[in-house]
Amino acid sequence: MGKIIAAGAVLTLLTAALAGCGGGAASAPAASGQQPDNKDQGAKQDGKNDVTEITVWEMYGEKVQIPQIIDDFNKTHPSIKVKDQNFPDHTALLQKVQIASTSNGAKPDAILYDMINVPITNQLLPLVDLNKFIANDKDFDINDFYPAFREFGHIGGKQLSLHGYSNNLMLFYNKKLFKDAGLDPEKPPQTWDELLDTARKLTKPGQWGYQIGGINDTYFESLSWEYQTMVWQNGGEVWNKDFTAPAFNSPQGAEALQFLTDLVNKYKVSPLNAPQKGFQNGKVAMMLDGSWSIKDNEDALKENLGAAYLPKKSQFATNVGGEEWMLVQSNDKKERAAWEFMKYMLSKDVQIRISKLSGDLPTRKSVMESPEFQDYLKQHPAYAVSAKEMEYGKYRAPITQYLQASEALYKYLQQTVYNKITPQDALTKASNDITNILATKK
Amino acid sequence: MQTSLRKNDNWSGYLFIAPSLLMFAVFIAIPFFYSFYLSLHRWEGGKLSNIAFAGFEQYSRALHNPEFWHSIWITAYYTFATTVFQIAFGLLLAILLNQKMKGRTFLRAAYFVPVIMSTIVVGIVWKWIFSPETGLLDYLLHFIGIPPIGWLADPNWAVPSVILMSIWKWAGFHMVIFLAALQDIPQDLYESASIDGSTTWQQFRRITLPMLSNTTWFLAITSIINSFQVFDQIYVMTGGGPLDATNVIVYYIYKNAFLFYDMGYASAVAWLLFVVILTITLIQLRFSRSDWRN
Repeated sequence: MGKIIAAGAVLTLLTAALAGCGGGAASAPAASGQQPDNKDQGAKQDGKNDVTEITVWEMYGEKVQIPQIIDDFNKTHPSIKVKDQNFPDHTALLQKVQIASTSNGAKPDAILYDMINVPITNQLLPLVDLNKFIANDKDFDINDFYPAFREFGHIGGKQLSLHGYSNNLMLFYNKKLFKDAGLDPEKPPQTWDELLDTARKLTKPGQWGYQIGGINDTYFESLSWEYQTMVWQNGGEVWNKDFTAPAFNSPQGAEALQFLTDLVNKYKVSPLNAPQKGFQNGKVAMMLDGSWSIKDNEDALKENLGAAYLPKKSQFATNVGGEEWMLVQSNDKKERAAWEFMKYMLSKDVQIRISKLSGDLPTRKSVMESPEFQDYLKQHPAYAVSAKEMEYGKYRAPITQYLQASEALYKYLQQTVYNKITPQDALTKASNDITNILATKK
Repeated sequence: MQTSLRKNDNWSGYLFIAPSLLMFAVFIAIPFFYSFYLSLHRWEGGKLSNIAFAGFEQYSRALHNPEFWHSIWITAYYTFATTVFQIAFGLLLAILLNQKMKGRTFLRAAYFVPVIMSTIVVGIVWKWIFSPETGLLDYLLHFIGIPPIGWLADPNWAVPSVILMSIWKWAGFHMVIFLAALQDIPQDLYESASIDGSTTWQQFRRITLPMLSNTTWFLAITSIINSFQVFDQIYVMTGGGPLDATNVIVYYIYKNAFLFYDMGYASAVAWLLFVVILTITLIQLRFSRSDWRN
């Protein structure tokens, strides 16, 4: 008798464990951002049959009030029900997309994440050609988007994604440290020569003149895409016209890398080992960083925060980042619903709301130039600089092997900065490595 | 010939171990063999399932890749340094805290607490401690007139920094194991030795160390197996850099598998790592057995 009870207990435990495992694995990402309104869903499903349910996978989450924004959409669009699945970062979301593409599991209807992942996502999931909606939708003007933001997602004649929220690289500086060194706090350096001159005046024991953010970042993409801006600023190109071969191994590219390494090794105005939060603690006078740092820098330096375009050699140039919206093919009804949702997320009010919370910028001219957003920019001058700098924004190669290519470039950039090889050597090796990477994968 | 009573016993016995076996199968056995299968394939881009049979091409690719060998070398350097110092400090702490003294229970607990803390959390705190110029260590060095060291940002100091952090984290574990072993040594061995006129040092060399040899081998083997697979600290503190100074083998596997999605290559490297650890462990076991026999 006892043995039967024991066996029964074991079977129950076994079943519970399996159920827990299976359920747990699937709902773990959902648990981090899911709205607690499952009761609501059930009622809707039972009552109305004409509610289209779509799922969105995103990486913004609570901090940017995504659940509330989605809630607002659901309330104002009773025939559509959007379910939110939040992921902690781009990498986690891409991993889920990879799994979704190979398994028979749930596929999302809309995805929002790093623009760099658009080409890969295009290979993994069948993306909707947005042109079929754009062409027939009278109140959607694709030309309202800045050129870079509609071109990036324009692959193979199809519009596969649209840039929702954007950021870029810029120059931050500490106005107080400028004044202390006898420099005009309203005149930040505009050219490479001015940058070097200013940095030298600002470097002394206990203080660095100019920190290049990527040198001290453990993530390889940081230094890689910062260097890319310097190639463009020098009038060079990083890739060829159709992104099939690297082009930075040129006189302009080499000159840019020479300048970068000189800042560290020859003029010693840029630290190899920057103190953590050095700029915010007043130990670094100028810094190359992303517009997503504006809020933290504002909080730290308040009215002493200065912002400027990245200095030019022959032209201004910055690298554009941010998140893209993509829709996944399914059936006509769901695709239409997803399109309505995407339009909503790109609408003026939502773009402004998200911009204020995320530190990203709107991607549509009419939104950027609206009185409401211009007002906000007046109160946050650093954002205004980042917004105006968008017109000089260039984007990275929309290829599936971008991350690998970037890591290869980073390896040699680092070796140059640490004085292990010459800039010319580095660029030649990087160029060869990247050519190999492009050749081995389709 | 089994009686039905015996058969009943067997049946319920199997049922009891079934959950554990299932877990083992799903999370260990199946991935183990599947990863070998994957290592024989090449990824053709796009979906992860888009693979083609490639024989031992991935293994050849790894063995010809200087980054792979550099990774093995860095991991070996880290492993042996960490193991030696963790065991040495563990033994030292155990001997010291085996003496009767006030507060020794508190001290034993204090040294053990890092062991149970999350490695990620410890890594984040130590990243701040190691922060150049403004971190705790450089701040203290400043007081004795030593210029700031880059620690995790300096290619020459990065690995020693991670080693330091790992020793701090795990010495307590070795201490606890050694404490138990020390307390197993019969006291009359020491008494008769001191009657015969041997010094503390001689007693340590001739009684303590030999009696601890099994424990030491156990700790050496497990420490090497674990240290070879270090990942958490690297991920949080250095991201494999600077200049690949801390590009340990598991981080290299992670990069290839989960950032570049080259599962075939990453699996091959993982299997090569398995061969390396297995070889070292077998060598150690052979030495430990001959040691024990002596």
